[in-house]
Amino acid sequence: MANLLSVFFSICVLCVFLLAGKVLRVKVKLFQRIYLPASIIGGFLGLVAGPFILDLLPAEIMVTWQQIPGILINLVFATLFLGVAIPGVRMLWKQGGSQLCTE
Amino acid sequence: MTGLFSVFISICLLCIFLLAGKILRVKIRLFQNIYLPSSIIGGFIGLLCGPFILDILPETVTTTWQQIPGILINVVFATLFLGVAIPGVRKLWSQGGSQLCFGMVIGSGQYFVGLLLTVLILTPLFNVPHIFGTVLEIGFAGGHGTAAGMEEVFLNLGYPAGSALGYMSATVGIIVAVVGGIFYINIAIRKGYCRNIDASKGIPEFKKSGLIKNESDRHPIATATVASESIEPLAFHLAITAVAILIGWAMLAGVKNIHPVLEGFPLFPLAMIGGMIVQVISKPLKVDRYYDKRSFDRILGVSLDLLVVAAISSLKLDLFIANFWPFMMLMAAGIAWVFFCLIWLAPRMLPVNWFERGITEYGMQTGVTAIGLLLLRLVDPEYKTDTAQAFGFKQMLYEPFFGGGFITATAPFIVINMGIWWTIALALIVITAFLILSALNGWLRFKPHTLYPSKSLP
Repeated sequence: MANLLSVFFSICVLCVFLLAGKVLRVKVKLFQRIYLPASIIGGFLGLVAGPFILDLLPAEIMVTWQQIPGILINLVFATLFLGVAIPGVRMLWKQGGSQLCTE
Repeated sequence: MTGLFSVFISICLLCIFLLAGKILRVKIRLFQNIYLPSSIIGGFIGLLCGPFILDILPETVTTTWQQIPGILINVVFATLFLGVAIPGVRKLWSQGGSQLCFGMVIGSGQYFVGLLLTVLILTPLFNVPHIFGTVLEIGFAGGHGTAAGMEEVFLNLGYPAGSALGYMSATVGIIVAVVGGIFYINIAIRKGYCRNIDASKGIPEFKKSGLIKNESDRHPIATATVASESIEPLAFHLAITAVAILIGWAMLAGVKNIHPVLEGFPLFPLAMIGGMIVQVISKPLKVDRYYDKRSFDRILGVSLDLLVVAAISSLKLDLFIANFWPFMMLMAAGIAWVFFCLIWLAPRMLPVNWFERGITEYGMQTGVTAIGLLLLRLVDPEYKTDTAQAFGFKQMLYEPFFGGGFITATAPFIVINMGIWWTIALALIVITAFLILSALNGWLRFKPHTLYPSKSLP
């Protein structure tokens, strides 16, 4: 059983990295020019702080972080078609058919 | 690792119970008439399925649910003051002072009444420990969240029944707040206490079922202040909240070092201070302009809804039943106290709009802030009186202490370490101090202020 409090703490720290990414996006012109999302910048900050480079992060945080993407992806895909009225196949094909074939 | 995945599935399941609560709210008239939130209904469905009754939930689910309230309460308290510009003390006092004095008297009165009843009757009769009396304020002025936050405190002090009773006290508080509040509003309308009531208009239907059918009644739930290509606005606000919580966490380490007695001090009041600190330092950094109050409200709302379902679902029913009679007597005393404050004290302590201000305070002190504002909506539909603002200002000075603030967090420690009589004396001193303060400002009078407001004044 995962200790939920340590999971909670790890997620709070994760959020701080996201925020740090946002701060860099606001401050560094280069990141703005290539429209690099704050999440990617924050991710690289986390990578630098992680076990392969600076190794500043406690193991319990890393263990939680490793599991997060595999869980949140389910939320991402679950919400993809929620709140959208799904049109008939005919209309889908007519409007999106050419786009579909190029994929 | 299956750890986090099982947590994830447990949370998904928790959401299903919340949704089931919403369906019952939409379908069952009674729940609509008492404005019972979906989260409470869903929580009781969860309690029914839980280990004490039907026992159809897997253990991994119930062990996760047990831990959820104590975690989410930190999120709730961290967001409480985020996105709100904190005004100067002078302004707070001139607009919210009379309301604050009134609120402080009700809040510390809940300790006074609860502890006095405990020491004089409940402990001799039912052999409950003295900290039993603190459950009244935790559930009434506080709520389910506060009860969740106090769980660890009660465990540390060797009284595990405390949080179960706290949750029940909060549930009773919410029902009494709505049912009693609407009952008294009906009397007040007939007596002409309300300034702006439009009895013919009534309550909009969508408030009852909670489904907003008309496009025109719908409203955006937040405003984007950052572009989602760079960072998702809700994630940005979540990250700010996380910073507040981590500041609270750092302060907690400091508090625990002060004295071993404070070993079990809860995180949530400090998360609230963390939120205030973030708000204050954001102003000179000019980032506070990107804080959207309503985004923080969403985070608070989601956390609180899930918290309540989890809290009621994992209620330790055996501990509650074992304390049933002393608990009911404590509730009766609490209800008598809040009604005394609403009917007798409010017109003597609130110089203007006493009824609007009194009913809001009553709703918050018995149930939660949202119920206080719901009751205000019923008697002042467009917020034409200054009540909403006065109440908001009062909350800024009140929340750091009662209803989950420092006094709530430390009261059980004080009862255990200084004794119950000292705690009762302290509560009495606080009550007296705020009565005197109120009188010195000309707010408290023995003869009521104008009971019947003239309808023309704003």
